[in-house]
Amino acid sequence: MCKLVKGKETIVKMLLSIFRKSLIYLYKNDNEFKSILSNVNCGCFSISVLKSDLRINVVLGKKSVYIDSDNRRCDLEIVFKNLCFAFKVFSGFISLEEVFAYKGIILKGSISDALTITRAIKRLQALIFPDLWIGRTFKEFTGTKLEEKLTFLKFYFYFLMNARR
Amino acid sequence: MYFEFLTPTKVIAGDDAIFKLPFELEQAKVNKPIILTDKGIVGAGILSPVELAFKEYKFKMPTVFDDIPPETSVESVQTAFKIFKSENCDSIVAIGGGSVIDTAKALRMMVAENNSDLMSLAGADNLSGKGPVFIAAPTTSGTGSEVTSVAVIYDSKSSSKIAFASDFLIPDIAILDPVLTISLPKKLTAASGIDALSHAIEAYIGIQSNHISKALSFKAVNMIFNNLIDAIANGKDKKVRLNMLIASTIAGMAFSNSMVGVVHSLAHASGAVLHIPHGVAISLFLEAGLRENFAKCKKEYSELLNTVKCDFLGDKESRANEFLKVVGDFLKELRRLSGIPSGLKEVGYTKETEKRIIELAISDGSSIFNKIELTEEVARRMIEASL
Repeated sequence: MCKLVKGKETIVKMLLSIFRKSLIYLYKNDNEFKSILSNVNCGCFSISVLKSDLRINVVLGKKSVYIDSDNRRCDLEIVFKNLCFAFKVFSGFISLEEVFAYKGIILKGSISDALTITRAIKRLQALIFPDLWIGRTFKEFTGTKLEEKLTFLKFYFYFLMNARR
Repeated sequence: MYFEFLTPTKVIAGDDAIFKLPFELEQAKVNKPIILTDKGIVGAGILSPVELAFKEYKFKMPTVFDDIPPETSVESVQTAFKIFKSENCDSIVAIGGGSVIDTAKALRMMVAENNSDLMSLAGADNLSGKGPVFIAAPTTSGTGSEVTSVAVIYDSKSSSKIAFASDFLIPDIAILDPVLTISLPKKLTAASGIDALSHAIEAYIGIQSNHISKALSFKAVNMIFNNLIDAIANGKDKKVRLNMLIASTIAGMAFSNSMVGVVHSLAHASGAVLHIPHGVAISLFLEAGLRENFAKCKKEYSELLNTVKCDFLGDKESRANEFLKVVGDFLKELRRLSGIPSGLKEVGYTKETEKRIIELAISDGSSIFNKIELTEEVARRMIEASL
């Protein structure tokens, strides 16, 4: 599948930007998402792709998250070993958990913190991708609740408004 | 389907295999190894054949570091690193159980990275090189650590077990000599054997299971069922002991590539909270973990039944149920013969410890490889079924 997609770097860059905005939004507005991330012991984590400039650093604050793409050192670094793995995760084809299982990631830092982040990203994927799509990606998925759907719609509205700027 | 498979370890197995150790060191062009072991092994005289092997080969007896607790810690590894440096050692020999071999892996990491801060090396696939020559000779038949790419070290600061995973951690050579396990007490034989069984089964049913690892798991389950009871009942039988060592190594090869699942998540967590030996913790959760996976692993259980009861006929569901029954009966018999605990309440579990066990279990790396999601509810159910 991956070899058929041209311009993966551009697509991942775009998807990463959606992830970045949804992360900020959900941290403020979704209690479950925030509560999962509150279990992370490190103050900063990064997600990047090897041999590429694609990178986000997430600094967890009490009320909000700060995200940049500097080359700073984070307590926890999740590095995709190639663009293909990153593409599949950010487009909802596979979960981050699965890429861990495939040995598609270099992890610097605590494995249990990485697992918590995996859980948070799963929550994020469940909200930003349609149920039908994500249902075959996760090990178990019972669908999202009505109020979660509303959060999802609000997010899309928020994202579209911000994307115009 | 996507998988990676790596088993680079040279395996030397059989009677007097330990006498090959100095030759292998010489072949690797090293002459100042550090031997890592523990006081129990030294006290039981298990190191004597090793000393004899060096003496006969006219190889200077290496520096021995034996201050490794049953649950190895960051401090033990750091002490070993200091000795390795001060003695100008050039290779590592681990003679012991999982704790000793994991200490050796962590030491290898620190030497390779020239970094005394072990916690900064935590993670997966984040090492830049292999480090010094590393030979492991297990004195228990269970951890499979002599061929695996993972190490678990207890961090007293966070009261949790920290995992390290890298292909560079896999030992270069594994020496399987039954003389090293012959004096293993019944309880340890049973607990470590059940650990090996859980490696084989969990590697078979996990999401990273593949055709190569399945073949290894299949053989390991068969060998454990055929030899573990004899190893407990007649521990002096070298043939049975060697079979168990080989079974454990094969299971290690399978799980180093396909990893383990919820049984190990709960065992790591309860081990950290209740301070019980890893094998005992595994023996308490194995049945409950397999039952939790039942809905998604019927095919695998049905296939595994062929290794232990090939004449049982029936559909997938009944064969899968039969496999769980066979495993349950096997565990009961092992408990009866060895006297290992049969429930969490016997090992200090209280309702107060439950919350912490669940917290640690759901953030344990092994759960990633399990077919079902390890949620708080699943962990709670497994604990209740293991009381």
